[in-house]
Amino acid sequence: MAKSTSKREKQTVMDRVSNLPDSLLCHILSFLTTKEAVVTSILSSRWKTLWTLVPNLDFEMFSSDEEQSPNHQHQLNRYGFTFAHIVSRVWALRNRSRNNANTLKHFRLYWVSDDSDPIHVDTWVRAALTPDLEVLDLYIFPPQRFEFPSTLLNDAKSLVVLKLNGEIVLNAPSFGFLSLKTLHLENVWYANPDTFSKLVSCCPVLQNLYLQTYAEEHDKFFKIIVPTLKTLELRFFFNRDYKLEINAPALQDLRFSGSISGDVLLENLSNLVKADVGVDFDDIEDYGNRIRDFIGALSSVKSLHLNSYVKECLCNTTEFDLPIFHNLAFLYIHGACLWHVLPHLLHRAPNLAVLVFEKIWYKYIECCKSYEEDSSIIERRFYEDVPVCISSHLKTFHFIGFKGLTYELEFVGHILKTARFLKTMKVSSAYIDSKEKFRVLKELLMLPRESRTCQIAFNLSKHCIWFI
Amino acid sequence: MSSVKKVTLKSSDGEIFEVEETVAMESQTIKGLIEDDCADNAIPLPNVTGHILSLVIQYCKEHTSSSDSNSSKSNEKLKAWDTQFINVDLNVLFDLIMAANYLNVKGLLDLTCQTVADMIKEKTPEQIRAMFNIVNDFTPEEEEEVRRENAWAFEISLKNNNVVDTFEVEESMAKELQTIKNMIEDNYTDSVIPLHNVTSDILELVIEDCKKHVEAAESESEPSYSLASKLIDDPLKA
Repeated sequence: MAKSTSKREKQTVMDRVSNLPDSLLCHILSFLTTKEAVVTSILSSRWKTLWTLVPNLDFEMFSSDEEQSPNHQHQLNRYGFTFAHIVSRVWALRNRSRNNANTLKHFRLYWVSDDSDPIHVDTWVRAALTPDLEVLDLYIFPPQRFEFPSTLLNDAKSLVVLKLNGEIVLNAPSFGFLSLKTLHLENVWYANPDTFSKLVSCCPVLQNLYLQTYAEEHDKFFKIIVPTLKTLELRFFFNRDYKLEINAPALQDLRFSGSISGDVLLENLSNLVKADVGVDFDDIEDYGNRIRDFIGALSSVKSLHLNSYVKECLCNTTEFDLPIFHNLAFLYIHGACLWHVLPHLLHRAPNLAVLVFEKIWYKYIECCKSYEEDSSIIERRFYEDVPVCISSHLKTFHFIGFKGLTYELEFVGHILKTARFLKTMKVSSAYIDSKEKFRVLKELLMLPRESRTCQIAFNLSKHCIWFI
Repeated sequence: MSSVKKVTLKSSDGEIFEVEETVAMESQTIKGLIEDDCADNAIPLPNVTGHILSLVIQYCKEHTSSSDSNSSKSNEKLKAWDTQFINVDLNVLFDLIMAANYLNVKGLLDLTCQTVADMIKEKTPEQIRAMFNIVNDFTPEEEEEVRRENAWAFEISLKNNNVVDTFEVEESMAKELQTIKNMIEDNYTDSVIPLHNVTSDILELVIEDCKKHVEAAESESEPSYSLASKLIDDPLKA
């Protein structure tokens, strides 16, 4: 049963890790949670107090049904240790080993359980907000909303990353966050409708902003006027009647998901490189036009992802006057509505090199149903007026969700016939049953290709997503 | 392109490397020397062997060329390249840590340290010691003291044949059972030790008894060997 002979053999080899200097060992330990770092205290006398030198504290407590079981409670009570005890104990013990308390640069607290006490959270957050703190990451669901001590943020002059998620109420700070580069706000509450905008305007070097919000009140004003902003991700769930203003000349990466039902103004996005837009269903008037205008503001992008409902909505625009996307090289579209919208988009993207089309198998727009199988539309839209990108630039075309239906083969056939510079045509599908596979492959290979160098690739497994 | 500025680096074992200046500047140490005009001749790097230096240069090359474009393609490909790159044996890994530290190449330092951290993650102390050949130089009293101070961090789970019930017990207690003690010392890799022959009620009783045994030993009173040994040595049947 015992296989310990190999251990003895290894003892002749040096223990290199313990011989690393303190600073490097601490750096290694900083990639672990506090609990994992504390475990190393028992390795040898060299390691006993190393964990106290790590300038990070990282605690997480998720309660689950399992943890409500009497056994778990019993075990905790045996030591008298609750989560709050553990955090306080660790904090106290780590400060014991030096005359000055060890600086804390990184504080992460995930406390998602019913018995989380806001007093403790308040204590720990206040203790953490020193001028040394660089990263604060809170994910908490206390029974009463935690009033975040925003004025204390003035003390945290070195704060570079602030992530808040959960039952937290935020007030606008009175001074600026001189070092804050990353701000991540998820499901927090704002004391006033303009708290968010004030907060953002206090960040002179902000580069990354992530905002997720569910509408609980109306009249929320999101003003994101940040000259230094590089990445922006907005997730607006069930939001209506909001005002969103984005003016970010340095922005490179934009992700938006949610409903574009409020007042949206996008300006000055001329350096945008990548955009990823996914919209929710909404039946307000004008929804199609709103989406068109939103996408129109992104015309300088090189890479564009349009998810789920976007195409269906674009179907409903009164006029399809999008600007020309001169830089667009990569387009990923996803949805059911193909013939109505895709040609319009392709005409607006003269330099498109990669097109990824993912067909999803549901139809909830009645108008498109009739178009789906009408191959004459394909002829008209693609044959008669071949988009410039297809004839002169397209190098890669990837069709995901291919079923081998007639009109799909026709569509693929048209692309192959007109794309002179096509190098790769990739077809992926999990939906073809094995009997059909062979027939479909054969038909695809028989389609005439305008481009001599074009290769056809197949991917007929379950996981067929391909990212460029 | 012969007009590209190059610097010459010399490893501890005399190997010479000619590297583009932009690549070499991934090392903040070298960058400083270049900016202070100390880099006209070969820069000697007495702390880095040729083998390791060539790896560091490889890393810097890969990461310099990708810092211009910001597309996600580079980021994903770069991560894959890093994973492949860092798949080296332990000695090389430590050499890289030292070199990245000395040459101040932040990305490489983070990558190598994260790799070591990943090896420590979710392992028991015994497993960690075995992996790195760390010698446990604590006396039993010292070790017990450390364990007590940080008791909350040392837990292992015992699982009986009824999957739902897991008992988390302190390692010192579980070691009271010779069977489990052997499993622990043999670096039983699964963090949950299944006990197929024991139902939860019996297991609970055994744990209770072990607790008493451990507490008795702590309080220096007569250890109650009789009761304990009866339960420990008897084969436990469902």
